[in-house]
Amino acid sequence: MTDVTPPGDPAPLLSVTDLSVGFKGHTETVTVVDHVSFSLRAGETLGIVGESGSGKTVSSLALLGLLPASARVTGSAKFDGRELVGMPPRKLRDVRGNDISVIFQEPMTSLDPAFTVGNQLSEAYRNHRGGSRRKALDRAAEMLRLVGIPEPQRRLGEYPHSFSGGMRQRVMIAMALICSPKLLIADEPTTALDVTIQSQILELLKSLQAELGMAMIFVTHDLGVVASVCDAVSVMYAGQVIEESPIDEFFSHPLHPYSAGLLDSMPQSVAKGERLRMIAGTVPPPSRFPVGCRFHPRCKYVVEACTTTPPELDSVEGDRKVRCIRHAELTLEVAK
Amino acid sequence: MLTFIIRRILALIPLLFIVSVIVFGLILLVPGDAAITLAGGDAATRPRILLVRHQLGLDKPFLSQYVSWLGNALHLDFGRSLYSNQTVVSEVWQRFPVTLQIAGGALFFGLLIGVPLGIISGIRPRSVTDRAVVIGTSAAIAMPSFWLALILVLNLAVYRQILPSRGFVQFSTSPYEWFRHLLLPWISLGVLAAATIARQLRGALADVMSSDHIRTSRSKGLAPIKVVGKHGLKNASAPVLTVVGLQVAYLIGGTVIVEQIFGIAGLGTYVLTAITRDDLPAIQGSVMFIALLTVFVNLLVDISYALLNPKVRVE
Ligand SMILES: Nc1ncnc2c1ncn2[C@@H]1O[C@H](COP(=O)(O)OP(=O)(O)O)[C@@H](O)[C@H]1O
Ligand code: SF4
Ligand SMILES: [Mg+2]
Repeated sequence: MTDVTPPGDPAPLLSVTDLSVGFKGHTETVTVVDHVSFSLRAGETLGIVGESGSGKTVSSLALLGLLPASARVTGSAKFDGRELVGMPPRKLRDVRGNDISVIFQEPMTSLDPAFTVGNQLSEAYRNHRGGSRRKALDRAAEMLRLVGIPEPQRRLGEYPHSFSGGMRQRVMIAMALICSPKLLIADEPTTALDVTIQSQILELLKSLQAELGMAMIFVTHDLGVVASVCDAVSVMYAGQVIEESPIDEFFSHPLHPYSAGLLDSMPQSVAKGERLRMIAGTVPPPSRFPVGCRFHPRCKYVVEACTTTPPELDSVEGDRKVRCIRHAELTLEVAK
Repeated sequence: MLTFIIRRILALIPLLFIVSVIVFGLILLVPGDAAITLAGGDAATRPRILLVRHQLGLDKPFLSQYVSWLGNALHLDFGRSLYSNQTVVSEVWQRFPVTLQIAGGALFFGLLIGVPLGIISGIRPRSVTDRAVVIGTSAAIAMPSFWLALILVLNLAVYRQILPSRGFVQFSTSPYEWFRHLLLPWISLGVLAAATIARQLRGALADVMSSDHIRTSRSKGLAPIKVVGKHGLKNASAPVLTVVGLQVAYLIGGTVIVEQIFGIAGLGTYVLTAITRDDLPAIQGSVMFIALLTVFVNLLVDISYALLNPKVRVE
């Protein structure tokens, strides 16, 4: 667990333990997320980082039971005293959009094109809070104002196609927050947007979080975003957590060669004129995860033992964890 | 929305013009001297030939024949039947309600069966129920409606005598008998409509259900009935509507055969009789009427399409 909880503090808001997800195929079940654990307290932000295909989205959707029927989810996810894994669908629906909300990577397609924005927003509100249509629409207008959409009353009557990508993501945020959830899962909320819009949405999420006091899981492949938003970070690779750490220690000295590689490839850590240092290779598909350390085909520090022994997630320095058999002997330097 | 409807109606004018040319051109298909053939061929008497020639304006050049025919047609005047001497319009109008009841009932049957089947298989593609629906609808689509009609008549009307095999009873005379007489025609025609609608809805709904916005709806905590019934169906309805529009044309065509099998004097029987008797005005008038009807139904489909899909209205 990313124990950002100092000893003696109240129980975490969400505590995920050994969460695994497999997808049933024609012949066998492919495990895509493998014993993932993390936790966070009320009001905190946890970053989940990793390249595309490492299992970030699947892990977040698994928490709310939003995966397709072919998914097999095991492990535990305790939220506010309730177990989410295996929770009956009716109970889970009371949690979705009410206690925990999600915003997705695809703002262009995540709103229903056949209904007005006002209809979709007020539907989210009335589903949990009931009350009149009028009252729900007032609340919807208030939310649109909160996320910085001008002329909210008029825009409530419009369909998603008359909103730009950035505006649609604002609408999604308004919809996610309309019932004041305790936790917001933001799955790469800015990846599909233009750079200038990206920073606006990011600023908006930060200010809303401060204002509403909710906790946030921020899924991203961009460490720059993590640095500006998160209290702690959990790095995923090939379906596993490979490092967990409070944010400052992580940026000053990463423990896992993959984390170091990610930090090295941040545009900020590259001097002007120098080429971006990317980690060579790509994340393998779940059906071809390597034996031993899953990162070993791409690791600069690989030794014989890495190719045979799967490393455990070891605790180090009290509140950090790392999954690398050589972590004690390696000193990873990140270019500044 | 109003400008959308007006634009659609204006767009129909060239289409209707082409249809009118084709319908009028039917006269060119009449072999030999049209007046003699239409007057009864070898058995035709001299006065009758002259009458037919004059009635149809066959003594004038082709273009002016068409212009005067079209002029009359615009006033809903398709001339008189060469046999009954009644106006074609009054005869068509008399027969049409029966055919409407057959086709409308069959479409209702198609929706009643097709929509639920499409939903249960579309929300769980490749499940056992879905496979059963796919097999069943494939069989139904492959089965000609006259064959189905004959099997139904043999089993339910001839051997078991549960339902009447022929005829028609007005609703105002006896609603019960009306229903009993129309049930087999409805099923014979409606099974194909049901299967086609089910298949189209299945595909459309399966697509929609795997889309991002459905995931959003579920993430809001909506119950499945809301997710499928509201967001799923509204998005899946556009392609289904298109199919319903096409089905109406098939159903009207299908009534020709079904009316024959069940001995019902509807528009289909009328067209068929007119054709066997070379009653040209009757053929032209009824075909034009059916074409207008089909165009009108498709206009309704276009309008509902726009009502369901906000983007269409803007374009
Ligand atoms: N419905 C699914 N069925 C089978 N495999 C899936 C499904 N959804 C995702 N996966 C696989 O799970 C892995 C992790 O995907 P994902 O969580 O989307 O990655 P990330 O969000 O980190 O980019 C990928 O290899 C992807 O192919
Ligand atoms: S276990 Fe070996 S291969 Fe894996 S990260 Fe550590 S050094 Fe690299
Ligand atoms: Mg993702």
